Amino acid sequence: MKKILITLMLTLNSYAFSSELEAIEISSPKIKVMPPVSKVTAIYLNIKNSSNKDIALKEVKGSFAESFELHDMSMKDGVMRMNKVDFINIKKQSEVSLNNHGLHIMVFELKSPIKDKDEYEIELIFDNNQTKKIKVIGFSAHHNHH
Amino acid sequence: MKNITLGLFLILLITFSYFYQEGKNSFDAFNYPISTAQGTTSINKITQEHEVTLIYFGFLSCPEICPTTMSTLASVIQDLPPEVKEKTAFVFIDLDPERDSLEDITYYTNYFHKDIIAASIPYNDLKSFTKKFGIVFKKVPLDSNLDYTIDHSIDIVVLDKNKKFLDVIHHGSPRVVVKNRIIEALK
Repeated sequence: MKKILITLMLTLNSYAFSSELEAIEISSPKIKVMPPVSKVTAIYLNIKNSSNKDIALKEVKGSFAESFELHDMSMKDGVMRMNKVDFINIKKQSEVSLNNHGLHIMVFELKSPIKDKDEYEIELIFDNNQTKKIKVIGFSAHHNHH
Repeated sequence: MKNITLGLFLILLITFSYFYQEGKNSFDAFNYPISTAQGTTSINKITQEHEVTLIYFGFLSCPEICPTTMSTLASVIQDLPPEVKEKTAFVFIDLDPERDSLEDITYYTNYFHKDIIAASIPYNDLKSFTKKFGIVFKKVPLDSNLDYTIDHSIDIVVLDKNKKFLDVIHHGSPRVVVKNRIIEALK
């Protein structure tokens, strides 16, 4: 009886855990192609939190660059500003978009230039210590006509 | 006697500050020697050789605005009728000479279009230089892998042949708007 109870508890727990993980959905993950001399780039994606709890993205990891940080951009009086943020909050039952005019993931010291349509793996770490591994795809905002 | 000396000192101080400020205000940005891969030139020289000159100030560690602007300019250059294109100059002036070498910024602008002129100015004179074009920029320390970033005006400055300020093109202006502004300026 005890064994069944324990197994049941474990199963339920893992189910609960995995369903919380499922509650985070990432869509349109992409990483910007930049001229090779520029060692920085940006990652854009959408994070959907379908759970009943607010979550926050606190860290990003990857092996193709030295560091990944969360940043915000804002424009005031014709001047563009950028600043580092410690968390990106995603409220329960809502979606946050990381894009080219606001919050985004900054990538520093690329080990090699990002290529259009290539895939790169990153790990998103949330404040409840859940992690999600995703692939971001290189996209070129500029089309070279030579 | 003491009061006279103090008074004299104050007058000297005020006079000095006035002339110092004046000296700073009389910085000749147009004739200032700017470095490009093709050698030293000046805004004066570039404007004289063209009917319209577009100037954008940026830096290489800028992830979004600068590459987007460069991309827009490249498309515009592509779309301009040849007779308009040869009368137009496109200049990129670097705001981060401490990190961006002339070689790197040249490579950067060439990546977008070979007709964009990349220019570098020593850090000490950048503030005075940009002021003359109504451009502001500020080094902002970052608690990050990147020691600092640069907040900066992202408008494109448009000058005519006589160095007169014709226009300011705001970031995000569609290519067709930029293209038409240039064609209009040439009329």
